[in-house]
Amino acid sequence: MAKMTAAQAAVLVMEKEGVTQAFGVPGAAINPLYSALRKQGSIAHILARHVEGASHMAEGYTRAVAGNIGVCIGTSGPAGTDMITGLYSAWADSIPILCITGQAPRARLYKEDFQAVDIESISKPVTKWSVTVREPGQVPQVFQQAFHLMRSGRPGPVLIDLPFDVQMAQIEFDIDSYEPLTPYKPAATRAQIEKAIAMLNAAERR
Amino acid sequence: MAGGGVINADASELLVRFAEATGVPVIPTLMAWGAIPDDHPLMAGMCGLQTSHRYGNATMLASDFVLGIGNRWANRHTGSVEVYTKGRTFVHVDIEPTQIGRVFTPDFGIVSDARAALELFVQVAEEMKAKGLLPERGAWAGECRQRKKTMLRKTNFADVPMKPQRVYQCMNNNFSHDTCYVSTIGLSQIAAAQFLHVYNPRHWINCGQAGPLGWTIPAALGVRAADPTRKIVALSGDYDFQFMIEELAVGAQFKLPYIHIVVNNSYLGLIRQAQRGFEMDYCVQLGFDNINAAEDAGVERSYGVDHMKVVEGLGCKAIRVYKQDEMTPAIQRAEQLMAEFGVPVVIEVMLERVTNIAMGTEIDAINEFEALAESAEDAPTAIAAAMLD
Repeated sequence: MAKMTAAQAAVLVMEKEGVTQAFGVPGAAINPLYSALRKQGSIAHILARHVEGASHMAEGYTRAVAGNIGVCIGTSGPAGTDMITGLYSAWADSIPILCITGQAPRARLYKEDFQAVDIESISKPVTKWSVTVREPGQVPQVFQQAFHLMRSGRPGPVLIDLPFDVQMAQIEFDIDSYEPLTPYKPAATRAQIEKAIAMLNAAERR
Repeated sequence: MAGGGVINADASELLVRFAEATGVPVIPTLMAWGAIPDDHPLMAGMCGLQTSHRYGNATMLASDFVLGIGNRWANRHTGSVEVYTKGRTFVHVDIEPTQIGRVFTPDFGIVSDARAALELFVQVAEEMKAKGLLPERGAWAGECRQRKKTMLRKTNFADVPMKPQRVYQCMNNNFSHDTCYVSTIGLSQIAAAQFLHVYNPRHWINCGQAGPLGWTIPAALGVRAADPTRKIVALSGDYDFQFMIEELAVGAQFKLPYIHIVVNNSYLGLIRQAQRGFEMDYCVQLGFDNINAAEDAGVERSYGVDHMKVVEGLGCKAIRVYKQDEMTPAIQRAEQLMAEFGVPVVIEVMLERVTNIAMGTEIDAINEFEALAESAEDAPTAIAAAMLD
């Protein structure tokens, strides 16, 4: 097992899940993730001029090619609220995008800290899952579950909110034994399809 | 009825195969536009209150059976459920169990990924066809095609300032079948759905339900980041364009070229049209006398924002068009500029200020504000022109 920051583990998971491109605007509370992105060097980054723009870029990126998942990144506070419109747009049309936000350190939550907003609650109605990660050791599995959810059933966006100290914490993680989860996709039965075609065959317009 | 789920599941080829096996026409939703090419004989047109074809609505109303796959019966597609469902049998296939019956209860619902369902639909239909167990539907498909050939709106206007319909006609004439359009919302997007053509899945990139103004520029940049070679044409009204205009600098900085057609009527056009019912034209005008333009500069002064200067200020290229003769040279010039500089190129088309685009509150009561096509010459780029009997 290798020791690394939770932010590095997050980047390694994204890489293994097929992410090669991100869109975003850096900021103080998300700098550990940007540091890990820079060191790993496998995920290209396009710097948006407005964080909402980054979220729409991610949606365009997903829609363009089958299998793509656009990633948009912002810092704490207004970066997350700026991306709510992008999450709503992606949610409404069943488009998976992964939105990552920085957050104040865990001990500073609920104290009206600078740019610390409850983005987990704010984004809940427009995501398949929104989560502020409280345990650094959970970061790899939170990202794993995010990709699983975005690809399963009706597709849609996920928001992962990473407190600064969670990103910085050292965790044990072995990327070599990591595997993406198989997405859940319900499938019609032959009997159901035969019934539907029998109903179609009964239609009188010929 | 093909919905966005068919695109998401990458199942467009299977959809077309199923349609061909059964001979049943396809109505794509706005999210599925391109799943079956516009010029396919079984593409029956789009249905809806705004982003729809006259022939698409007429065929929907004439139908007695609808199989929806990966669609959600969006309200701007259906209008009232009563009009939409009257006299018709519905089967609904959706990946999300709680979507079945959410808008109305179908006669039969199937929970399935669109690809998984279409694989079986194709398999069963082709087996039944080989055994002669599928009814012949040629006459019905022919009726649908006849509507597609005849129920057209006029685009061939010669007015200056240009009418938007003519802009789309020019776009059809200049952009090839592999063009990928990106748009958001408003009269420009509604008219695009009525007049442009899409021939491939994922070549109509549009945020259908939320419609956040400003989406077009960043979404087009995202499409370019995903595909360095695709022919991308974005389409905005002036307000959508201004909403997130700063993102053009991202295209200049990261060399993400595409063509952006901006149809400028200096108005919140869709809202202006919606305000007709309130007998007002209130807080929707974007025009003002731009003090930096000459007194006699005409629309360049009275339309307010000088998009040419703003676009160039953000490191991109811009061309302004006033009349139809200038469209083809402008598009050719834009393609040259993109190749030379690798940045977004904006073509701003100065439109007439007021155009009311066809729409209504029921699919059987769409208001046609503008002229309909009375001959093939009135709509020379409609699919009808390319349809052979």
